[in-house]
Amino acid sequence: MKKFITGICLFALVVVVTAYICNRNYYPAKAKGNDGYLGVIVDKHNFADKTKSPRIIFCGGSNIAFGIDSKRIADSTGIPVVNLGLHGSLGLDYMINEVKHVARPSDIIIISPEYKLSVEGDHRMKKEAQRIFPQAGSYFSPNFRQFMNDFFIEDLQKNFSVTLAKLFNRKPKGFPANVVYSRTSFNEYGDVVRNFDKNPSHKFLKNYDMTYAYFPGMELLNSFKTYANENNIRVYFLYPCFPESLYKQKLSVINAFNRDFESDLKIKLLNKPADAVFPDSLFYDTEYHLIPKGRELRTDKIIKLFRDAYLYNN
Amino acid sequence: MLFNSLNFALFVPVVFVFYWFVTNKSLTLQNILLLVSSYFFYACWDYRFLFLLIFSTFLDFYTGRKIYTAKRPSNKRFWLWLSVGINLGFLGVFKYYNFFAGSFTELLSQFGVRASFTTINVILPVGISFYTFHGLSYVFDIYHKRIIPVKNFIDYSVFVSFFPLLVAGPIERATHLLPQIQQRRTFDYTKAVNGLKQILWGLFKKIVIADNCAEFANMIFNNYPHYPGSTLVLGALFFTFQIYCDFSGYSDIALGVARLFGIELLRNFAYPYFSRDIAEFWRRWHISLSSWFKDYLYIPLGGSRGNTWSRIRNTFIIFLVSGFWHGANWTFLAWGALNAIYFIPLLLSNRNRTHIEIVAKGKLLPTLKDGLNILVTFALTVFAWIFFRSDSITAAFHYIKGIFSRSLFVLPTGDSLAGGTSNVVTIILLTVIFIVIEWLGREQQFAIAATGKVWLKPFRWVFYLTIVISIFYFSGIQQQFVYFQF
Repeated sequence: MKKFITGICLFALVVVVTAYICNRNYYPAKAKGNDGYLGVIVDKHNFADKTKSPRIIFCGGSNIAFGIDSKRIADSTGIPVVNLGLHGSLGLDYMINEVKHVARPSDIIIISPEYKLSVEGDHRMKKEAQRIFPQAGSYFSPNFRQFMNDFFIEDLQKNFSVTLAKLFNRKPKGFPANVVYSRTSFNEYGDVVRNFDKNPSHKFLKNYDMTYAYFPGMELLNSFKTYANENNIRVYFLYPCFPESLYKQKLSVINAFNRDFESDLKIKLLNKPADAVFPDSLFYDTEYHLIPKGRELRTDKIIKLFRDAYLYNN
Repeated sequence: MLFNSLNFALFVPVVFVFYWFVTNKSLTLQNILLLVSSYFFYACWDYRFLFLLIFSTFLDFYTGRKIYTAKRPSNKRFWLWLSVGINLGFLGVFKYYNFFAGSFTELLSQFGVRASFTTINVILPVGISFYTFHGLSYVFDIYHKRIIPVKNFIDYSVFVSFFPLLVAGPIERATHLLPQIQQRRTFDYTKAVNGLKQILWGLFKKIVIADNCAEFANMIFNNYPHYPGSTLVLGALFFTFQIYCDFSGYSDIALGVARLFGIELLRNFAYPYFSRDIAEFWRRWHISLSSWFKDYLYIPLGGSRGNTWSRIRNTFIIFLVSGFWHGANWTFLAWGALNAIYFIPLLLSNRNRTHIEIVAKGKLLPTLKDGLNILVTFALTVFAWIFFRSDSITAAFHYIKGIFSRSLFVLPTGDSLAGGTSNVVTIILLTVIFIVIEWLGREQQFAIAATGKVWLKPFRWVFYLTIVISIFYFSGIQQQFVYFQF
């Protein structure tokens, strides 16, 4: 029995070491970025790092990435703006941890989660963010199952193609740079600015589904408010942009969300859902992605909201 | 809890440690541990059906004793049929009721009679076909005085519910497994290492070959009208390897895990695709089910004795029942009937036991005749699997019609096979490597049983490590084991 157990343990160790060695080839020690949409995470953090506080930091999913003109907000408020908004699939937990990492005392955080934003997000998406920007690994912690799956399967599978490409001196395929969902679509502040397709399909407006459920990240948002108070950071809540037709269709659901936020959220609400509604024609390919014209209109509204809330005079 | 899941990878070592380090002093404690673990394993699927399993176990345990103690033959028969009736009743309700209700309604509508039988919305309890057959073999063996009933309910329950075989067999016999459960078991290093190797090979078959072939087989069978004949042939081949590697992979894992606990289960597969005729195929495919039907159905019906008509009848019955055992669908019946048609000429010409030994024993390559026979048998088997895999008889005929068209001679295009986790060429290459390994190891109980025995330890470990890493690397989308639905 002793021989059997020793043999198994040794073999298991060999397997783990082999997988570990292989995986190191795939995960770089330094931020590498890439040409894809998530590649901009490196640029966003570089910009945030070099910008002096106090700053206005926008945090959220793609409604923020596509929905604000940071330069105009900065010019009108006199405070530099950092747009951290990227992708809803990263999840609220990731976003909060990321903004905690970036924020410094005296900063102003504008948090704008999408209506149905998941707290956990998509694990693969977060792993990809980590691969591009290793620091992102500290914004989430995989559970045991995810860790095992990553270590032995996901990372190993990805690693092989990278290793082979290196061995044969083959350049990995680049991401097309001339599409909306690429790193080059962002400006230095982190806003998506690329010219969009003039005739988007608007398929998302058909068969749209959103049912009411209590916002799962309420507790997380409230605990972030406590953290912000303790660190001399101001935090505000901003409703995401939403198309007019869907708003009318889902009014009762959105009102129910609003009731919950008004009663349970400890973060100050800057606007109401109706204030973030825009004509359908101003949206690109999802209910949260504004085209440049929509972005400018939303920016106008945000500047007014800031002024009304005496945000930058406080 | 799938055999190829992380949960199972944690479950087995925990039970193993308790089994050999905590309860090893007492056989009763070891059996109680096996029973509790098995019930836990089953409850992970659906705890509600655990009660059905316990009831079925108790029923056969009790009726077994009653058959044994009954003095009059009529009483013995009564208890036997009570057990058979209730067992098959459960199977009928859970597995076949909706099929019969639907088919009967359709039949009546052919005669202009409008009838509507209520269908029931039930889930098929996992493993019901397997544990029902365990129980039935027990009562049949007692009735035929092959065994005497066990006195200990725990021992009997372990026989029915032992977790490696609980959900998809092998279908064990009381004469084979019960004595092992009642005997004190000691740890055997060689057996345990052999068990691990068999688990490794089973996982390779399931994860690398079956799951990857399944992706393409599903894609092609689900969209068959859009593919050329050549791709449809490829789809049938993918399914042929999927079902073999899925089920024999499962059986390998079951046998390997059981061996870790000092228990030998019945062998379920013996390289069926190297068979030289259909009779040999059926002696090598799902052996525990084939032999069950042979012993408890075919032989009582008269077997291959009697006149030509009764031999044909018996063959059809056993193949149709075998098909129907797989599921309540006409496609399975058609698959069974087709195999009966393949088998009958061999039976009538007394050539059904020509090939008993494995092909080309002690040689590297088969003779030309054997090679051709293998190819023909394989082609017939692939053809029959089309019925097994199709959603309906009509779909199967359309699929076959699609094969035998001009497009059979069109090369399958890359575009039509895009979308799988791994590249189609890679999967074909892996399957070829797999066939070569199986061929080289065909005289062993499983293909890699003797591989590397004479090699130096580091080389042997590199070989096993390569298999482990390829399992991780080629793991596609995790697929349910095909036979769990039966």
